[in-house]
Amino acid sequence: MKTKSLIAIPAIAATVILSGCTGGSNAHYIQTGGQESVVTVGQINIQDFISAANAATGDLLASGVLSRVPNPPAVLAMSRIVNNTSQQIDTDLLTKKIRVALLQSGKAVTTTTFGLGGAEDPLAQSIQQQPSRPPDFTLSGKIIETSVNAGNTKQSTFTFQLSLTDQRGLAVWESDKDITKQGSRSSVGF
Amino acid sequence: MKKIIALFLLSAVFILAGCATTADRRIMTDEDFSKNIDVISVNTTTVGGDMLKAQVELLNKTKDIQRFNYRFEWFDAHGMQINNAMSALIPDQIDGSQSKFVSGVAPTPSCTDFRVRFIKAKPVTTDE
Repeated sequence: MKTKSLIAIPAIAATVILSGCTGGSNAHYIQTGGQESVVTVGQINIQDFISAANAATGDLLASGVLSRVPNPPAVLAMSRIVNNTSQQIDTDLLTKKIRVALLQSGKAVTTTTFGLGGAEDPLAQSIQQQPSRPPDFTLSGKIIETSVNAGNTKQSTFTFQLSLTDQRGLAVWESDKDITKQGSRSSVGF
Repeated sequence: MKKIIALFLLSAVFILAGCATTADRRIMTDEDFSKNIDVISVNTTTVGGDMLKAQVELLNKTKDIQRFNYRFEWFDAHGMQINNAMSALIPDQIDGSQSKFVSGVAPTPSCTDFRVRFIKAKPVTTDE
């Protein structure tokens, strides 16, 4: 009887430990940028990139600037997007969303054989038969972080600035979108 | 006589309610959202030459700040939904007793119709 108990106790303990190891994660898929997304105050979350890209693209399409080129669709070249935040971010998270939306709109195409610091696609550049059409516009910008603390409350503002410059060197369209988040430790976000 | 007064008052309530809100089929809201926020008007125009732009005016019926998310969905002339990067859920908020405009621009010139969904924001646990 005692032997059975001695065997049963470690077996139950092992089961509890193992179930604890496997059952705690509760991993599941969520919609990217959806209501269940985690919100952090001090970082740019994916929903922030989506919001900023969405605002910029809508504003750019509404401006009509892209339609005012001699040979539509407009050709766009990517310039420098400066990251002035405390975190390391891939600025393509912003610019690629804008590029995709502009391409889908039919209003602009982006050159991948001409860009700051060399071609984005060197292979495409090497097989290019004729010199590419010079871009009608370049897209440059900056992402800025402003953080403040007051007591237990932390607030961060991420500013997404974009400029579209034409061949004359004039910024013909500009966008400035602020995203501000506030929270405290063990707080609730929306 | 009482019945006539009651009918008159009921009619007046319906008329006033009709003035304050819109029953546009393009606007979809959840119960929690519509409990606190009214949709006042829906307007459309063409921008950038051929892009449909929609604007919705909201009114916060309460004295508290209301947080919500919205998403524009765009459709072509055949009623087919056009999915793209701009069909994102956008977080927004509206101060107490204030009105606010939200707007969206169609992703392509082929969009001829839209739908906008408003959802009351759910609290999300933060990491900081």
